[in-house]
Order: sequence, then structure tokens, then C-alpha cells
Amino acid sequence: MIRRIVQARYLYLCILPAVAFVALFCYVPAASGLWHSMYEWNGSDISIPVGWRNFQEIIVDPDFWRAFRHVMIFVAASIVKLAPSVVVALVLFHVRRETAQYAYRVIFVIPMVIPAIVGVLIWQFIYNPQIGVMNALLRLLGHPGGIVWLGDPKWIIPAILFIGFPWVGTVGVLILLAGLQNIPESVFEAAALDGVTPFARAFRIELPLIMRQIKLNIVLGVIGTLQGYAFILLLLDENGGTGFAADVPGLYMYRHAFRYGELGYASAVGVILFVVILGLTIFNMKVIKAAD
Amino acid sequence: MDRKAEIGKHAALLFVCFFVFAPFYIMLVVSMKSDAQFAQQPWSLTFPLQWFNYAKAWHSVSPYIANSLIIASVVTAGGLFCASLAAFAFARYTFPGRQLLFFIIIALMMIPGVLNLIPAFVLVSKLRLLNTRWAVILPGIAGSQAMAIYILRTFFTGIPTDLFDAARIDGAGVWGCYRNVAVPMSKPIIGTLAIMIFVGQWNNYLWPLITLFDNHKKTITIGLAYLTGQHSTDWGPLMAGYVLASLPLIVIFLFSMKTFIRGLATGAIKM
Repeated sequence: MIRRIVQARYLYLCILPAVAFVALFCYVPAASGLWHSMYEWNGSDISIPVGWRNFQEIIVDPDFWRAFRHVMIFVAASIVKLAPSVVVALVLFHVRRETAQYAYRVIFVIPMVIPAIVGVLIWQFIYNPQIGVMNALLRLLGHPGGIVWLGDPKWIIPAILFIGFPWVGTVGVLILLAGLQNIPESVFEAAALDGVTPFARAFRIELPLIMRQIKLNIVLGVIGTLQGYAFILLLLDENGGTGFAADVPGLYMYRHAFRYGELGYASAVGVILFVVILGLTIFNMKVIKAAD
Repeated sequence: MDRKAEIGKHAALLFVCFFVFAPFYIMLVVSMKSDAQFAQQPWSLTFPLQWFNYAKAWHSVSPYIANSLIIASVVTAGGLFCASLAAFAFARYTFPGRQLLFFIIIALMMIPGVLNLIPAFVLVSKLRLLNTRWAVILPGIAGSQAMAIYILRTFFTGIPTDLFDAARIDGAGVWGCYRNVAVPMSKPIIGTLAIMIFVGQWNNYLWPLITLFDNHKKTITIGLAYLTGQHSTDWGPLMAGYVLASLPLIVIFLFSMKTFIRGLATGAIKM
């Protein structure tokens, strides 16, 4: 055994940098987060064990549950918003001319060159109450007052949900398209012989055969949405807007860590989100993948 | 009948394209307007075009762009070097602990960023890296490993064994096989991964926001957010700044569009 390890010393050297990076910057923080969720912690001199107190306080905090309700809305929306990508991929797949199809693929990749943050900032501009396009449209429709999209608590969540309309995710479309292109030609030939209509073909053949890609997109989208809050912080503020209208658990954690200096409490929020996400990941592997 | 169906498909796709591009159209049009032009005619081109907006914007965004370029390049190069070397060892050799070490790296995909954010912040501050580029670069490299190693290992495993045997007969060791066979054979996938890592870093917002404080160290995402707050009525130059922030990505995609689309299309990134 020892001889085999010595023989493989250069191989360990190959793996060493990756393992060292991962250990120091991923596993050490993860372990520290789990550990300190049981502490009152300010990151430096104060570190007092408090048992489950952080968790007990979180689950009775109405602010946390409000944030959780909001994130559930965003999660549900992230699933619904996948539909346009699926439809576009299906339509694109059936464009006859190769050159036209390639041209569309290029066109759909172009938005990727715009940094995501620029996309969000442009939408902020579109929502600008004085000069934005949204209120200009409202004025055309005979609503001169306009709406303070990102300031009026009742409109904040709808406005955020609408960002990115028509929600055609470019990479998502290309991955779905790749899935469609991997369907064997013989399947379509058999369907054509049976005289299947385009709609039946879409629902009976194509959708079921790219379900794996669709599920992957859903799972990644849900996990991303559950822990995401960067753009809410960018568009609104660290409260999630007026009256905490779009506060989400990630933002709640951020606030407790960086405004109140309650790093242990914030770590406990992180642990709760971790457990929820881990549960989803395991559910995905055991239930959804097993069904394939 | 068939003709009509084709036209319908194109109409649907063009309709979607219109909405996808509308925001970028607004950005480009407004970036070339003066205040007076914007007030009169906000949503269509007005002449003369105010190219000076771009000069003004360049003055304020170029330092941020430089910072982001440095950080994203180092993360991409460092991340791919570590990941490809490790993936190569995992793919082509057997040694004690191989399965376990591979699992340790891949299991990272299960740990969400939200659990790590706060302790990682404390860690970089204890390492005295806060407010330096290393605070973004080192965790960035670490964060790129799981996915890159997973994809590269699959790819390296598929390279024909004969090629490595031939290199070994010529006297190549582990390093020689890596450098002269594995890497040259995998250029397209390495290129695709490079784009993904680079774009990921270019878009990184939260982590630089909490780790970099000095204005001259900030990355482009933080810089844009800051400028938007500061010059929220100077729309022309601000939009020009948004366009400039996209330039490096535009350049990268111009050079690699084909590889990238093909990489995605062939399902290289299946996961």
C-alpha cells in the first residue's frame, strides 16, 4: 500500500492544488458555518456556544417566514418561466432551413455577452417612474399617473417577476435544443408514418424525451432561486424594498450578518437553506432520476 | 400548408427576439443621446449621435473593467490549470484514494454558496486578504473546481488510450502525457469551460461587494451599481458605461462563438 502511494506521488501532486483550494475555501467555510450556527459569533472576539437558540429564534421570527413566503413565490415563478424556453426550443428545432436555425441559435446566444447585472440595471431604468418605458406605455393607455414600480410595496414583487420578459433563457434553449437533436431520427420517421400531428408529436414524443433536460433546468432554477438575493439587493436595498416587500431568506441572512453583526445567527439561516437545498438535491437524485 | 407553418415559426421566433433585444436596443439608443435629446425623443435614434458619452463613460468605467479583467483572467487560468491537472490524474490513472478524493471534490456541488458566504468572509478576513484582489481570486478558483473537474474528467476518459501509450513509449511521464496529449486533444472543451468561468467571474456581484472596499479595487459589477447610484440622471454616459462593461464579453464571444455553440449543442455540458 505504502509503496503504491509512493509510486503515485506525482499523481497526488497533480491533484494537490485542486484539493487544497477546495479544502481551504469550500470545506473549511462550510464546516465553520455548520459549527458557528450554534454560536453567538461576531467573526472575531465573541464566540459563545448557545446550542439551538439561533434556530429557535429564527423559526419564531415572522420576518423570516415573510421572507420564506416571498421566496416560494419566486421559486414557483422560476418553474413557470421555464415554459417559454421550452416552447422556443421546440419551435426552433422544427425550423427547416439549417442556415436559418443556426442564425437563430447565434441570435439567442448574443444576450449572454451582456453581463447579467447590466440586464438588471436596464430593467431598473425601464421601471423608472419618471422616464421609464413602463410608465410611458401606461400613459399611452390613458393612465397618466404611472406607477412607482420598484417603490410601491404592492408592485415590487410583480415588477421583479416581470423582469426579463419573455424569459427565454439563452443557454437553457441551447441545452434543450441539444436534447431534441439527440432524439434518434427513426423515432420521427415512425411518427410520420403513423401520421402524427405536430401537437401530438410535441406532447407525446418530444417533451417526454427531453424531460431529463427540463427537470435539470427546473432543479437548477429552484436551487438558484432559493438562495439568490443579489439582484434584489441591487435593485432595491438590503431590506428588499419598502416595507420588506421583496425580502427573501438570503437577504435576511445578509442583513443579520453584515448590518447587525450577528454572524452566528446568519450562519444558522445559511444552514437552514442548506438543509432545504440538500433535501431537494437528494429528492432529485432519488425520486426524479429513478423515474427515468 | 408547409410554407404557412414555416412562416408561423419564424414569426413566433422573431416576436421573441424582439422582446429579448428591446432592452439592449434601449441601452444602445440612450447611450448616444444628450440630456436634451433624451427629453425630446427618448426611444429612437436622434442626431447628431453623442459619441462623447462613450469617452466620458470610459473615463469612469475603465478602472473597474481593468480590475475585473485581471480577476477574471487569473481565476480562469488558475482554475482551469488546477482542474485539468486533477481531472487528468482522476481520468487516466488508478491510485489509492482516487474514488474518495474525486467524491470529495464532486460533493461540493451539493454545498450551496449561501452556506459558505459568511464563514468564507470571516476566513478571508482572518487570512488578511480582505480588500485585496486575492480575496476574490482564490475563492473564485476554488469555486470553479467541482464542475470543471467533473466535465474534464469525462472528456479525458474518452481520449483513446493508444495516444497515451505512444507518448509513453516516447518517454513521456505523467506531465508529458498531460501537456502533449490530454490538453491539446481537449482544446474545445477547455475553451468552453474557460468562457463559462470567465463570464461567471465577470458577472460576480455579491462576493466582490462584501470583500472589496476601496473604489479603485472594485470590479465592474460593483462599479456599475455605484455609478448608477451616483449619476442617476446622466443617462447617456451611464448607458454608454453599460455598453462598455459588455465589451470584453463581446470580444470573447466573437472569437469563440462557434466553439461555444457547438460545445453546448453536442451536449458537452450535459451534467
